[in-house]
Amino acid sequence: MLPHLDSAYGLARWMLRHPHEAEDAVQDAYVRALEHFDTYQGRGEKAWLLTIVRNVCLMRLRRSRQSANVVMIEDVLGQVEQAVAESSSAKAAADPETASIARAERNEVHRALGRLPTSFREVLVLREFEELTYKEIADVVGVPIGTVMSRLARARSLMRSLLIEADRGEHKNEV
Amino acid sequence: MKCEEVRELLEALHDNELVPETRAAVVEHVQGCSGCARALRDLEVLRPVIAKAGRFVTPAELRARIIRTLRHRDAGFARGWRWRTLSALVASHAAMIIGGGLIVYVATSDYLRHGSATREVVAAHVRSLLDERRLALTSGDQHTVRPWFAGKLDFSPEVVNLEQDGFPLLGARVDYVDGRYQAALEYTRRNHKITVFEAPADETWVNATRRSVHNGYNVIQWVSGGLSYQAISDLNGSELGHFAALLRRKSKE
Repeated sequence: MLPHLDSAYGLARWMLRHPHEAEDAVQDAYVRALEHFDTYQGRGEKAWLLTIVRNVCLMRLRRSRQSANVVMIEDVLGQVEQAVAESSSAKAAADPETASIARAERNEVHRALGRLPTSFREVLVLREFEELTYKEIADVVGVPIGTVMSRLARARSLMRSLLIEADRGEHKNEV
Repeated sequence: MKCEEVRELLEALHDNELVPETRAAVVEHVQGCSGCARALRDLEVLRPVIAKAGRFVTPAELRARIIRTLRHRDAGFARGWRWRTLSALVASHAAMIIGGGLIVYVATSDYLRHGSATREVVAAHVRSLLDERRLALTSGDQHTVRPWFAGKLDFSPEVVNLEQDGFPLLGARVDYVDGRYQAALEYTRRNHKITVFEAPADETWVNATRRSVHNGYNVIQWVSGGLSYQAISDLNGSELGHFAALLRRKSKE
């Protein structure tokens, strides 16, 4: 399981968005993984481990939402939906959009990914950084493959909108 | 194919998730349709941009913590197994008393003999996963690996190159498993490591292929040309079976 440590930590970081929280979650997940090693059937070790990491992260998210005043997914979703609506109104100018997406820098990408609702962020992270197949993602997240596909499509279109929006914001500042 | 159908499949095409026939149909449509081609390009632009975010690097302190957790568990494995061996022994003796059947005893002790051997190779394989520097020789060439063992072992192990079959050889080491020095060869399939242990077969080895699963690891054991082979991996059973069959066939050549 050690070879998948970076994957486990990466997923926890993207889900919890806090280094110490992520470290504790990964430690917790490995202990759980060892306790339940008997249930592991000898294939897809990485996906199996990431499933546990994800569950631990969700538990922590739920707990922190109960205790602290964390922004609810719906609020973020609302903002993002608005961003999508704004960008699709300018759909005709597709190539400048492409250019502005390609210009995005590392911290803009980080910020955009961070603004995605968790359910979209996790599938995108599992696909783009962990390179899991649709089937593996479906197993990790516990939803049908069709849902994985639609969430991925949504996640990507949201990323596009957020990156375009970020790029526009920057140009406004330049002017 | 119509544009609407193709649009639904573009993500799957981009993620390499289409079966060849569908893939061919979608690609053909995209080549002749500027709208769909643009939609695909939009997707393709995004991937390198997302990749800019980079992967997080695991803090060294966390890595050390996890290694301690895993090692602790490795010791736990051994304890758990001693208990299981003991209970199997008790069961086998009980069977002897009840049935008076010598056959049961022989079968059980054979099971125990091979069970403990399997147990040890699983532990050795897991240790090699924990410490990636354990390969003493890194080479995928059988004509480098085989002579390397000379003088280190009192037998000459079979080293087969399976690169063309999709199982490249990573390297070799000598390991002390099941009470004797064994040749350990490491192969890989995608991200899965396969360790093959080879040692002279003694009379307790029967001439049949055994398959078992231990703690999630698939193990296949067989005897060929006076050597016992044990292949172990987290790879799925059918692919490991394919690997074992290839090794068996090629080592005879």
